[in-house]
Amino acid sequence: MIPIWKWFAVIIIVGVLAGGILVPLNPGITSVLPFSHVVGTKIQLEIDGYNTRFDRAQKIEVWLVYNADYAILSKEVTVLNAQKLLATFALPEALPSEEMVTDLNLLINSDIDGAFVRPAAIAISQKTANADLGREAWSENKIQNLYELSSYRFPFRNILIETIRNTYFHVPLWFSMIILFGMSSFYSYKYIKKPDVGVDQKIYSLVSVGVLYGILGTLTGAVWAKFTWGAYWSWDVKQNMTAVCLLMYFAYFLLRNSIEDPDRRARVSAAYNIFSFIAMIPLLFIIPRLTDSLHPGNGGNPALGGEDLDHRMRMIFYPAILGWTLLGLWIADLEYRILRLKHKMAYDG
Amino acid sequence: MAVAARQSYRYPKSLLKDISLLVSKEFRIDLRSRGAIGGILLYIFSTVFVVYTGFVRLQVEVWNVQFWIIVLFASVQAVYKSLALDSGSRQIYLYTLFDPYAVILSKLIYNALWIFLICVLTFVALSFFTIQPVKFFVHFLGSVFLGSFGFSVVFTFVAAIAYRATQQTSLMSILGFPLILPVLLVLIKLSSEALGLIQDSAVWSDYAMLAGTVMLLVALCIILFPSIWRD
Repeated sequence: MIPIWKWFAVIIIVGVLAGGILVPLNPGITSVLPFSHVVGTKIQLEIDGYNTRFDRAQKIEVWLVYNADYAILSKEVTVLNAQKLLATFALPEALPSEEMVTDLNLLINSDIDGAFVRPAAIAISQKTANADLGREAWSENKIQNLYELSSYRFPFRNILIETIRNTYFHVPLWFSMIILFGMSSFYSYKYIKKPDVGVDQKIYSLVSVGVLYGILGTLTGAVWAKFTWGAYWSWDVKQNMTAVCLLMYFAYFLLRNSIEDPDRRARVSAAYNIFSFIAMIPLLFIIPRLTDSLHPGNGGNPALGGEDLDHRMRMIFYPAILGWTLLGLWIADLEYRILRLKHKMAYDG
Repeated sequence: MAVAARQSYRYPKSLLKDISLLVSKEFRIDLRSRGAIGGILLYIFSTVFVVYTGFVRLQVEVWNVQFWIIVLFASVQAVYKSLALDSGSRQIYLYTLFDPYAVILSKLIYNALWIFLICVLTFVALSFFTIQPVKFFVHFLGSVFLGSFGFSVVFTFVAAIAYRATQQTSLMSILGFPLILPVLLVLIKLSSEALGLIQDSAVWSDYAMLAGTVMLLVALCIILFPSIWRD
């Protein structure tokens, strides 16, 4: 009978693939033109939407938002087609602050698409500051009655757009790799305590699958980087660190190949495995946080915390980690059984 | 073997005695055979000379990285030589007489001293041939001190592993360089602060992190060494 965890692996992975690829994205704004404006003018913005249905909306409001208290409502909104909008604004004579130039967010509130924002959509400059006048003009209308979409959708992020789906492939692969390497270190510790050929085979198969996942994680990351950062390899700190970790574990295989005696080979490679796992921890987690990095969740703040991962995505993300880990364990299990059979054939047959 | 190894972890004072005995033994061996010391000295000076002829004018950032790279390669050589000097029969003799913890601690301390010397020599050579950009000397000394321990731990461990394998030196480099990177990156950051290249308010946390990493690796090395070293 097929063990139940293998069924879990298949069901979760299929579910993650289906959800990850089929769920549509939230409506969003891809471009707002022109970008720079001056206070006191009447401006017309051309807005391009993504996944929007402007032509079917009964009521569309477009706001230019300075912050929660200060925003101006558009005078006129013209719908060109389902994804294009023209919004006319009469900019007040002053900004509600002393700054000479500032970015404004664009908020679209539509009854059929819900409310969505493009941060830092346009820039406004002023020659003389008159904060009091600005504050009065900007608080004329208050943002209220924001519509909400009831369907299940993924968040829309400016640079990512559709590639946000890669979160279910790239990140769980790395998590699973670390879990697999952790398990191999645990088995290495057990091996050193009590040498046993079976344990050594388990270590070998776990490290093999871990390295496979590392390579896949690097490839998925490179493809993602090409679309979002512009190049397959940007010499980002975390990219470099993961390359080094893969080097460490490639060296593990090299080490195994260079020692003939099977007992000493197993013992020495187990010790190296533990050492490199512990050395990997600061590389992957501590050093990227010290420096500026393109990766989300580094350069100061962790990625799994509140703001970085939307709760709708978390519902699929956490099972994805479990699913990929179980799949990896399945592959490792097969590898282990092959090794065991080879060993039996060599020594008994 | 009729003589049983001394279990010096039961008697801490005898552990210290053993370690100092072993370290002084290594000193005496090295002083007697000038080959090892001479080799390292020559290596450092010729590398620095090559750097000088290649760059002529060294910018401070490049000086920083060059310093650590030269120290890195010289340490690999030094650690390899110090382990290679112990021939097979001498190893068995050591193993029967001394507790493996004493052996590994003595090797770590001895290699750390060697690498510290290498750092000093590299600094002297680089300053002689190119520039001397160190602004905060105590800072630099601190990073060199921690760095010697870090390099010593990783390379002693790797040398112990690679010692009896087939292609020794190349294996040592392949195994050692990825493992040394966490230490090396923080070291380069700390020494660039000492050279006045970057300003960082969190210097002490960097030091703490480096010290923590080194201590962790030392603990691991000590724990894992007996199982590697058994023949």
